[in-house]
Amino acid sequence: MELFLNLCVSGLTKGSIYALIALGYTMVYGIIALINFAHGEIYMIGAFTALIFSMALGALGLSGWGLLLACGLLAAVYCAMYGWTLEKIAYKPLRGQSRLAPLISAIGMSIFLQNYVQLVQTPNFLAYPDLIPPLPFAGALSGVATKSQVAIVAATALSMIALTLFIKRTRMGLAMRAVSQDPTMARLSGVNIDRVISSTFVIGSVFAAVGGLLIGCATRQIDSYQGFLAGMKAFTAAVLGGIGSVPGAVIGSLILGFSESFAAGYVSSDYEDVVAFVLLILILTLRPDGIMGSATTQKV
Amino acid sequence: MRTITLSLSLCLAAFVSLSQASPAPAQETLKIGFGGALLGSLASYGLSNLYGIEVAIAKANAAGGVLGRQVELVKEDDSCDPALASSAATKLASQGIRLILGHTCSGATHSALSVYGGKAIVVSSSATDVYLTDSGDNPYFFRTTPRDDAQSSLQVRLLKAKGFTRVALLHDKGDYGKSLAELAEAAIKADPASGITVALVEGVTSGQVSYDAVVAKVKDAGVDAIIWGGYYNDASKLAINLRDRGVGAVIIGADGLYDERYVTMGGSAVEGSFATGQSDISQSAAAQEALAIHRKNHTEETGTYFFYSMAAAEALFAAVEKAGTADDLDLIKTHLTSDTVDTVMGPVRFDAKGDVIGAGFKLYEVKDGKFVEATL
Repeated sequence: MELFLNLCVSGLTKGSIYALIALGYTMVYGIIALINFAHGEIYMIGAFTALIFSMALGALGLSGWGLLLACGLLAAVYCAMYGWTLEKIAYKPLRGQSRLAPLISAIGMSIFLQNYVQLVQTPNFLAYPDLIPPLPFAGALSGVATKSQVAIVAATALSMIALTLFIKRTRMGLAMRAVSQDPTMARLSGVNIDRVISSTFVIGSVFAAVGGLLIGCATRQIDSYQGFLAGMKAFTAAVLGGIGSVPGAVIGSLILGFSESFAAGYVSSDYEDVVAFVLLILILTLRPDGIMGSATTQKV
Repeated sequence: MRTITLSLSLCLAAFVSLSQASPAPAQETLKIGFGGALLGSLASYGLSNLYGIEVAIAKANAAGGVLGRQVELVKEDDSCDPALASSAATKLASQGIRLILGHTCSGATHSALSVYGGKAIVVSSSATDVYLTDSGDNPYFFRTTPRDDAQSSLQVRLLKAKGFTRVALLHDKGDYGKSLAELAEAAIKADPASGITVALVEGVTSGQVSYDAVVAKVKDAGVDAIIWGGYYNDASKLAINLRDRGVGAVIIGADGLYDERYVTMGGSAVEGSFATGQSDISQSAAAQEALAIHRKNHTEETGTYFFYSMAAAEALFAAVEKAGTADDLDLIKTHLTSDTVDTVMGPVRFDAKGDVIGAGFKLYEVKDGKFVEATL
């Protein structure tokens, strides 16, 4: 029973992390039908910048919740700038070209950012501080979930609520929905498409930065390659849930997280990826657009 | 635009002619190949190989070179990736290089050896997988590092000495890590009188966002000790995850874990861990001299394999010198296996399979934030 509970918590945590990253993939795809392969790297850069800020702010005497929030905020702002610049440099000039061109550009940016961080920071593994302060209700959860697991799940849940409200209630959210449905019509109605696309990249990057910071605190280690595997898994989750759909990304991430966790726990860790990807094949065979995806007809 | 292109190409042309104009060396250099991880997550191991080799070459060249020729090192990165290793090996072999130092990791070495196909002498200083020499497939492969099975038997002796009876074997699913776990399992099963049971064998995917599922399984299995097959980075991550979950089992690793960064990254979670590792010879006069040469050129630490790599190069140079040729591989092999050479790690000779004679593993324990030698 304890194993079952622990595996549930582990699946939920893993799914939450995938969800934070998968949102960036799915939102960008929803707006401009581009798979932003460099998104995993933004997550990695988020972890690195939060570490740098935590050292600087820690030296200034900040600690506890203040330090965690300040690091998260600064990393989010920094990554948002990266996401914004990335779009301007690598994708905007290629808008209107064949769909392959920005895809190749995305893979190139991913390799570039990985190597850039290796050069200016380090190719080695870095120890990550545990920035999450002790939780007040930790006693009740001891043995079931660690504080970093609680923090990850809580942060993801809050981010999802905030994002849903943003998309449903604000003018920019409305514009995003409009551009996603019909970019030409949205432009004709006076929507500034450039701003909508930039905001999408910015929002996706903010979530990735939060994910980078939290997973750094949980695993207590980062390196310049960590974005690749995490990005791949999150991308898989986004496809599983139906790429382009925000609730789909969350559901896909949770399915992936839980299936990996239970496969490793009850079968063998050799099968965690096998189970996850067999599930992906099954779902895509039955529902080619993913769980929440809407069927789109190719307009030729 | 056109003028820019024109002036650019003129500049380039000037460069080309300048570089061609430089005087040709008096005598052709002796090219030695190095294949290993210079990039990627295991670059620290490959750089450690490289630094040792560089010092050996600097010393040999200062003393007049090998066979009267200056030694030139040709480096190829394989990032410890078997696929990259075969292309690195192809690049080296296609330049006609027949003396290779490397590769860094066992998996990469295995794939590179099939490319060299018995057309080069290969001396590794960090590939510890038993199979490389036991298979008999690689007649020209030698190594200065002791083999993995020596680590496993030492680990089992430690289990017995500490009275641990339930053990989990965890590995990183790589060639090196998995083989360590298998060797440990074989060593435990070979000694049924010890009463040790293997409660769990599991792998973790290196670089995964969390190891929680495996940690939950280890907790459920209720073990006293964990034998880890893999490198320090995953091990310290795992150790922190285990302690966060309240699992107190002692972690026992091999030379991939015997790295100061295991302690710096793992902090209090890795206190009390054990590792088998190459013996520390840094205090000898030859070692101090080598370190001084290294510090003149680099500010980086020497890393785990520095002395082993330097010894590998020294043994190879001595054998080539004695053979009087760099082309007769069989003659060089005879000298490697029959002559004892004084190297930075002491007298070195290889057995017929290519394993080093005389070097062994020691046991280390993490105490007060650093590795200290432990006794059984």
